[in-house]
Amino acid sequence: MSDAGERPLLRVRGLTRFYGSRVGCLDIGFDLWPGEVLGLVGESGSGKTTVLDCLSGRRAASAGRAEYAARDGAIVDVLRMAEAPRRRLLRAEWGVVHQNPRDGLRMTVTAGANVGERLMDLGARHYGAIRGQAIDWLDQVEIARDRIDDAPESFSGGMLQRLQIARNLVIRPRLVLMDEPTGSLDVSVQARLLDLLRGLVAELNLSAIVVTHDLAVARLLAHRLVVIKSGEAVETGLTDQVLDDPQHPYTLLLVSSVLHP
Amino acid sequence: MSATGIEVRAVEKTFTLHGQGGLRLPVLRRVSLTVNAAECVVLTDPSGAGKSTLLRAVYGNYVVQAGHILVHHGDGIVDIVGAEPRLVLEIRRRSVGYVSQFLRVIPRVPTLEVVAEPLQALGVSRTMAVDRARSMLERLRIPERLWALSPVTFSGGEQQRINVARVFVVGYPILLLDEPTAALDAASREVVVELIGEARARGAAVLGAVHDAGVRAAVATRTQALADSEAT
Repeated sequence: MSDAGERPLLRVRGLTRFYGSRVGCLDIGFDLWPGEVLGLVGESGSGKTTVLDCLSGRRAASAGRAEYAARDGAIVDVLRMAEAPRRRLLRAEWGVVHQNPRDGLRMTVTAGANVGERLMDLGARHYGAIRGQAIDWLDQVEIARDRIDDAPESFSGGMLQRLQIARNLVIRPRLVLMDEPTGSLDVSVQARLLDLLRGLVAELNLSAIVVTHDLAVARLLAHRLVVIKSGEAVETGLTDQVLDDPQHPYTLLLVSSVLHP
Repeated sequence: MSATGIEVRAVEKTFTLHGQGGLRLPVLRRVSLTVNAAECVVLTDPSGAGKSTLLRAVYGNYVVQAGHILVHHGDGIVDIVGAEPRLVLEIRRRSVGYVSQFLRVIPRVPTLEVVAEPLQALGVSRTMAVDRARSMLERLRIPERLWALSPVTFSGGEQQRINVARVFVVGYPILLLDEPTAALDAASREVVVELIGEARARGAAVLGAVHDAGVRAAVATRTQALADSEAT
């Protein structure tokens, strides 16, 4: 194998979060390799979003570590970093795609500004270059160029989600966290977005963690799955193996509960 | 075992039906078999005997409880049983192709892209991948007017040919074929028989489940019943 000496981009161990005495997630551990898409699946309330929120810093973890191999080669525990450097690092190297695009976009500025300001955050100052990149990214996510100066408020749900993806990917992140990225969309729009996401992930060699309760979405996007029940990982493995030959009774229950049209 | 493509050693697979009182269904009982390079071994058991289960186990899609499944990968031999997921994915990308009975693709992705994708995943340029996908689709007699459409709405026979196309377009050294001609007309069956012959000629190790007696006679260099390979 070509991986001798290679290390995971993110190594999570013992990740735990309590809400008072109630368990949000308990002792979650996994490795995420460069170019890999990991799916966290389970029912609502299983704790999968808690895992994502602890990693993105939206919630504090009660215990555990998450060692990230940063672009400059340093290994940092993102659960224990000081707030300012953590924010800087995440802004430069991570993306977070929310289920509701309104949580990830600025609704009061134009589509172009939503994409461009991420570059300005990282120090870009040349207006023409920023606008050029914003246009490129609108193209990539299939939003017509002539919408660049429109406010997102005038966009459909599918367009908003694609704009949120452009806003995240424009900085060429190394890791993207996605929470139910297709959850708020009609099925027909979902398929298009899935195809788009899959293409971008492959093309940019992105690593991603995708939280979804939709096993069909998990099958199409994720290389590997972690099945979470009541805050704990009950099964992990290759996506098609977990879905076609589930080993844990809970996974079997999830898989056999899916409706087929 | 440099000339060996697949070596299955004493593989056991039991399904546990958790929803039904933990009922246990043993399907593979210490199955062993070998497929050498340039061989096409066809499994002859009746339906329900575990042929698809074995093929899926070799592809890493099913978990087995015991035994080893050794496949030739790159310069060495790898045990699929217990292999890390990302190694299994790498083996699937480069070494093992699997024609399943069902087509599973993202809705709305055009047929031509579906067939070109495995080549692009190997780093083949887009132009060349699309070129080769076109010739494979032509060869399998998929009308050009369908290439820009998603195969999701195609007939069973067309979907099966898309499945065959996206595997044979690559030239994998190991091929797993689960009833690759079941839904095909005579002319398309003939094309698949030719493709299997060509794969063997370049040294591929082929393991398949084929019911059709004519196809079986045309492609098999050896037949084997799982029942006979089980150790007691």
